[in-house]
Amino acid sequence: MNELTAAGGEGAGAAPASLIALEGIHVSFGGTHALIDSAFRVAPGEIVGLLGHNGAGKSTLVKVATGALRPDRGTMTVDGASVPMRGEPRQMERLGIKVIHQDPALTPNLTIYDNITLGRPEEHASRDARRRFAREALALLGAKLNVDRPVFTLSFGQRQIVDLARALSTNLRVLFLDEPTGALGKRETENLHALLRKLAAEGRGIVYVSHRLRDILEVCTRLVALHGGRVMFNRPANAFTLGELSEALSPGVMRRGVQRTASVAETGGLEVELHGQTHRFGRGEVVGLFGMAAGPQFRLMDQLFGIAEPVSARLDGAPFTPRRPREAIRQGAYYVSADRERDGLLPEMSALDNLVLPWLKLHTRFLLLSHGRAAQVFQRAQQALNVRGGHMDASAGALSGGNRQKLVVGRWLFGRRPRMLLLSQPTQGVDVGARTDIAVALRRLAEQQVIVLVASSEADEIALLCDRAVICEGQNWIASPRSERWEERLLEGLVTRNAA
Amino acid sequence: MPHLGKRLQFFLARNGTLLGLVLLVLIFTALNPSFLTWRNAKNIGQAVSELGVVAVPLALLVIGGAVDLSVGSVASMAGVIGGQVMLSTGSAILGILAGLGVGAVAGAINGALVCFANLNSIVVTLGSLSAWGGLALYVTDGQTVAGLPDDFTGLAEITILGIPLEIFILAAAIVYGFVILTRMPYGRRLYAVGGNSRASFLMGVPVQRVRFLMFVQVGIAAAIGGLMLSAKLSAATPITGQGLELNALTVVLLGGVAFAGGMGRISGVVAGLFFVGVLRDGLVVTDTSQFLQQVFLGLTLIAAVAIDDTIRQLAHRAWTSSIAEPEPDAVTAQSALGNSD
Repeated sequence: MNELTAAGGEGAGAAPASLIALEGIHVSFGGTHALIDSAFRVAPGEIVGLLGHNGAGKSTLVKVATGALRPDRGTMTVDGASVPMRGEPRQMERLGIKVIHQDPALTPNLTIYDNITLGRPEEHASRDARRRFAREALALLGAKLNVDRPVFTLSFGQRQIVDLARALSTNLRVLFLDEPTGALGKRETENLHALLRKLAAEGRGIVYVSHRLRDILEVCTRLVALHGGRVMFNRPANAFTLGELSEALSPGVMRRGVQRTASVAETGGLEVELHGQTHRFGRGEVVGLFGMAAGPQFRLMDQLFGIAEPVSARLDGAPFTPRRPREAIRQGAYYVSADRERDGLLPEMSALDNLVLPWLKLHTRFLLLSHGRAAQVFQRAQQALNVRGGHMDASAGALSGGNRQKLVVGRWLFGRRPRMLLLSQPTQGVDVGARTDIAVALRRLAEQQVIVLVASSEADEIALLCDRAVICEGQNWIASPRSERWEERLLEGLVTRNAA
Repeated sequence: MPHLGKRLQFFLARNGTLLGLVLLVLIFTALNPSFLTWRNAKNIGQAVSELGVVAVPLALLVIGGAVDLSVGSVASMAGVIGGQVMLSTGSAILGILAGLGVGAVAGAINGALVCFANLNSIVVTLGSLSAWGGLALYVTDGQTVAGLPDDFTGLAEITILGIPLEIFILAAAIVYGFVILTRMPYGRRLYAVGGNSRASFLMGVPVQRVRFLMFVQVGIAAAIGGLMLSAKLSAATPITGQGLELNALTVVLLGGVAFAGGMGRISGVVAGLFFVGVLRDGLVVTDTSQFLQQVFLGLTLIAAVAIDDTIRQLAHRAWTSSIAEPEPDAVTAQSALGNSD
């Protein structure tokens, strides 16, 4: 780390009166501290950029401020008046504290005007009055949409606009935006930024959570970075250049080494044809696919595992176009999804069952399961992945986040030998120790000549796990070899391509 | 010692119905001392045998994340078709096979609509409940199929070592459920599919096939239940199985099987079965009005749904708080690796 002080104090540009002020906020989830004694305030006219790695505490902070989560300790004032923190989003909404999530929270089967007026006094107005209200709300955003359209017919960007219109159409003090430009194009992003500036000029406060550093630098007036649940810095935005910002955001602690002896086999491996380019992923290396949140790298994972339309690919020379996960698995290609809870975990089943479920045949004799053989596999997995605590008969839902992640990764390492392992954000929401354990396991796997692909939108994750990376943006994906200050180069590579 | 409290809580969450059963037996014995006799126990066992034969596979289906509400009508249909085949061929075996065939076909139709056409299982099987029930009335013209061959009605009279054959069939059903759920890969898949079907799909489990096969088994079980009832009554009526679906579902939910799927044990289902059996029998022994019995069974079903959620929460809390694992210690895990440059 450099001279940046870990201060939570007033930023230079902050006005004395705060629209919302949080002090001494402390949140912990069963032993892990998500926020430690953190302070956060927003003054009228400010656009505050909230930064940090996954698990740094950004979303926890937003949840506390918007009432979705009740902290263990801490105080909150809105417009100088103390507000009890009950963990009730409606209470905060009435006070004019609103949040726009990455996924617009709308009712798809209702029309635009229904969605905009739902749950407000206008809900009971006449149909025409509601349509007028919705039209005016959309006009504030400079958007022209037919308010009679059902929401499910809208594009993602359009839904976001409807969600925004809904938030803006009543009293608004502070607006929190969670990755608002994640799915927006360049023009839509510019429109959004112009709108945010206008809102701020009217004396409202904006909090902008994003991984897109360029967007943040363009629109924000002050930057607050979180790391490990604490405020790492809190400064005016004009104090940073892009390079300094990415430097400040990649704390040295994450750069612990994993022994790298990548010797890539000349033949075999996976060849993928995309946009007229051929990408080759050899045996012996861990390759990162780096891109935006919800970027194309994740889609490629789905395609290779048979969840999305297959791409033209060859595995060890033979065509590889699985149409279902079952087919991919049969050919030795396994996948660890980024959404562990939804796509990976069987929360009510035991940890052991979670580990061996794809391999029940290997543990069956004369139609019956052999618990003993499965238990041996469990012990091997426990050792290899350095699992601490956690009984194999405990339900998987009761394990810690790190152990759960080790379970869904380990599932593919201790069954039939993988030829290729695909992973999306495999160290997301996992503590530092578990991250390293997973890194070591992937490294070992690559040495055993397994193709390992890691898709991620986090530069530090790529740097921790991978030997080289491909920056996935637009039509022309480019290679990014491991180098000095790799994380910065990755981020810069992505933002410059994105701006182009 | 806090562990003891947690373990007790966990035990209660999983075995509450068993304790309820013991309590129920004590109450009825107090009201009528002849309740707790070997003879009466055998009566109860016989009375719940068809119900158990249907409830055990139904429990497996619910664990797998679907439900079949048509079992009552399928039982009736299997009974009358079996009876008609027996009358026209004079062969009990052919009649039984025809009845089982009806069950398999009914289960396969339900399964195909739910698994391959992706329709909601409650709605589909509510529809087939009505359809099979109507069809059973139609083919018999609403009349009882009487005069079944002696080979068939004689089955209900067979006893082995003083124990009626139907109790052996019930025991076989329980063993079948137990072995599948605890010892067979198919059982693991049922839990997985019911607990998180998307995750199962991504692990290569053939989700729809697993559920479809269970629908077929439930259909066959319903047919066995219908045939058992017909043998016992020496006649097949088009309303033989009426109400079987509700009673079976009551047993399943009382047994602690999560209606949302993914959770449940056969021991609980057996406790639920005998709870319903004891309640029904006890109400008879204590001379409760037959109409009120319906009321009590309905209330039991509602109570079963109410405890469904509580069980899940209690069990989960008990595991998370102390039994499962010590607090994860990130710092030691990190230093144990020893590479911190």
